[in-house]
Amino acid sequence: MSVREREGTADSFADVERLLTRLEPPPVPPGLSARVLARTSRAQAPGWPGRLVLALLGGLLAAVLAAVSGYAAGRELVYSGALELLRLGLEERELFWAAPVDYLLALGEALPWGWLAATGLSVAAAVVATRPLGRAAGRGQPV
Amino acid sequence: MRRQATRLVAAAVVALAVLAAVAGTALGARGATADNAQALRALSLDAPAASPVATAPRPGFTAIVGRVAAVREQGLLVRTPEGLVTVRVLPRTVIKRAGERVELAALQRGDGVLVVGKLTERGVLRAWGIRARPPGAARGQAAPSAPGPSGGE
Repeated sequence: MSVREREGTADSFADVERLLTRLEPPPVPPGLSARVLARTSRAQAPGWPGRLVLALLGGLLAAVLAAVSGYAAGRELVYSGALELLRLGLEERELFWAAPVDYLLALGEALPWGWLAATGLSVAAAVVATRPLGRAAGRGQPV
Repeated sequence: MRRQATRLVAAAVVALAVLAAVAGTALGARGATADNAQALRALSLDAPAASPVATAPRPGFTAIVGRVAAVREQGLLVRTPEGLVTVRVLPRTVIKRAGERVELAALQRGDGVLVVGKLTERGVLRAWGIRARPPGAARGQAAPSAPGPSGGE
């Protein structure tokens, strides 16, 4: 390459640089961010049905657990005498009012706390498991 | 529309769990009551003499079911499927026979009883409540509603 050709190339680069510095950033089209976000959400959509099915199955499993633990709690309520103590307390109020603290302590001792807690936790698990369903509805996610 | 359907499904699953818990508890209690009633029917005072409870439930609040083997001044001797249990009646003890509030002396040998109370280390049950049913009474009339073959399981 001759000296003249080299100088010509350098001049053209400088010209391009000068032109670029004059350029201004184009204005952002209105609603661009919203459109990008909408497309991103649509791209995630295929994952949602799977999550929703999982949430549904989790909720149903929790319901089954609630039934099983409730059944055990019911049996223990009878065998421990807690149910009968409650009935007697309701039928004969004086049993309670004669010694309320003693009555409550006895009831607290008789109640099958473990099974009752398991039943309550199962119901709570059903609520937690179905939360994604509620959130999907709230955000308008495609189902 | 879809939002509402999704929310409805979520609410239905939670409602199902609550319903399952309540129904399960009721079924369990009903089943245990039926089991205990059956055990009570099978219990006879004419069988060979029972020794003091062989498989005593652990001390603490409990329920026993059985038949009155003897009425004493301060309590009862109750025959359960596991053996004899001494029941101490306290001033606050509520005793009901055939649905009526009665005194200890109204109980009779052979009555089916459900006793709830606190079992001491010595194996004496300090009764809070006694529900008795005369032998041969229709079910539900005197209703030891939850007679159990053993207590404190």
